[in-house]
Amino acid sequence: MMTGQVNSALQYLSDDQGRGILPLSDDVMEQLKEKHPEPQGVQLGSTLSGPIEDVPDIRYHEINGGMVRDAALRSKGSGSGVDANGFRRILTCKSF
Amino acid sequence: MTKRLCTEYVDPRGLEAILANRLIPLDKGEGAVRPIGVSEVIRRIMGKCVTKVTKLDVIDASGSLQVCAGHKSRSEAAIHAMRELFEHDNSDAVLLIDASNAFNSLNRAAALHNIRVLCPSIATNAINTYREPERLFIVGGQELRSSEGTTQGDPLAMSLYSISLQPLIRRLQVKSAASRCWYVDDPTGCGSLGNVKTWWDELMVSGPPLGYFPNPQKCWLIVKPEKERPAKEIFSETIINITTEGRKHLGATLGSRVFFEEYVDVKVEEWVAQVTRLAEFATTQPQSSYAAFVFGLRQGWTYFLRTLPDIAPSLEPLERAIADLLAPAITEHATKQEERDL
Repeated sequence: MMTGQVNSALQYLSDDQGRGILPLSDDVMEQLKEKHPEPQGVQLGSTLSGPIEDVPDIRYHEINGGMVRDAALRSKGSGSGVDANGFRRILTCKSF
Repeated sequence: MTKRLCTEYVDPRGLEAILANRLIPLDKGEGAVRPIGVSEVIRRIMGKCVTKVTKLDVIDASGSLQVCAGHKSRSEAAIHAMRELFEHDNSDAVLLIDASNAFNSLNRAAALHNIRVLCPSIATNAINTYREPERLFIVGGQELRSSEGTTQGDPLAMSLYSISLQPLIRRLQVKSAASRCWYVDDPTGCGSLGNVKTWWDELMVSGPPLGYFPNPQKCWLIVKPEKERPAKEIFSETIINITTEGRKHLGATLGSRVFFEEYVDVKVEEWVAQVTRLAEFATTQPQSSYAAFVFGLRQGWTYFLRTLPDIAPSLEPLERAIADLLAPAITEHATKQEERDL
């Protein structure tokens, strides 16, 4: 709670505290492969036809430093390398 | 870079690193795996910016039947709409659909084509970020490719998914008179048995080409008691589960009052256990426990209070646990009702 991770803290109150990450066995790998199928390709009757409107580039001009900063402040977690806290620091701290 | 991805097509090889994800196999129980994707923070920031600019277009393109794309009180709207429709005299049954591996199975080629027609403002960005399979690095050292569906961790994933199912939603609307509502990959159809069956048949035909595969073993048909026999006859060729009692629907319930009360009682029992455990923490950590109560537990309960009608009498055990255990543990003395009102 002191670091703002409310959901993580609430897990301590629940009987079902999650089963955690599975070790990467052959069975797990097989299931992961099943859940990420090969591309199907376009099938008959699945596509729409119709006019495709042009979107003027000016639509996206409001994406600026301020918007990126706001988005960074609302991001959590990490992928690899710099996590959300790191980006928050880079984008809001004057040292950078 | 975000602006560029929204306005011009770029070489996908240059985006490979930024679109790569970590893939974590979580234990779903009974030997099943729940894959969780974690995308790069910078992709999430870019996705949030695009979402902010295109939000109204996405809501417009998703239509009124798919309530997951930024609509206010989305799942609550679906719950109340379906409950009212089912209680109507003209309705015989409501069909709850479950799809297999929905997000990862969406036909990406069809989706990227259709999104240009349905929502051109996110089309260029979607094509740039989804036209090549993403690399998924699995904890443990292996790698997979995500060639279909939307990517977990991408803020645009929900928008892309909801728009991509529009052709299916519209086709069902034309083919069947059943009332329906979609919340992401969970559609619900309600009406006469004939209309619901037509809706199901069309879903089975039109869903797979778009990458939507209903799983009849996990689908439930809730029928009014007097319609149980005809329902079993009409749906005899399917393996859909049929019940007159009720089922869980988006965190609330649909069906009989008895099922509803049993569901609420189980929930209240869980909540009482949580409050009891929080009271133990509160003896040494009163501030944190109070914050967990206000910002965690209570917020979670609000959803149920807004979606489950007339549950006040069932909440008495919870009220007692708060009054007798939690409040004294936080304040270090027995609290009177007047103090709680304050």
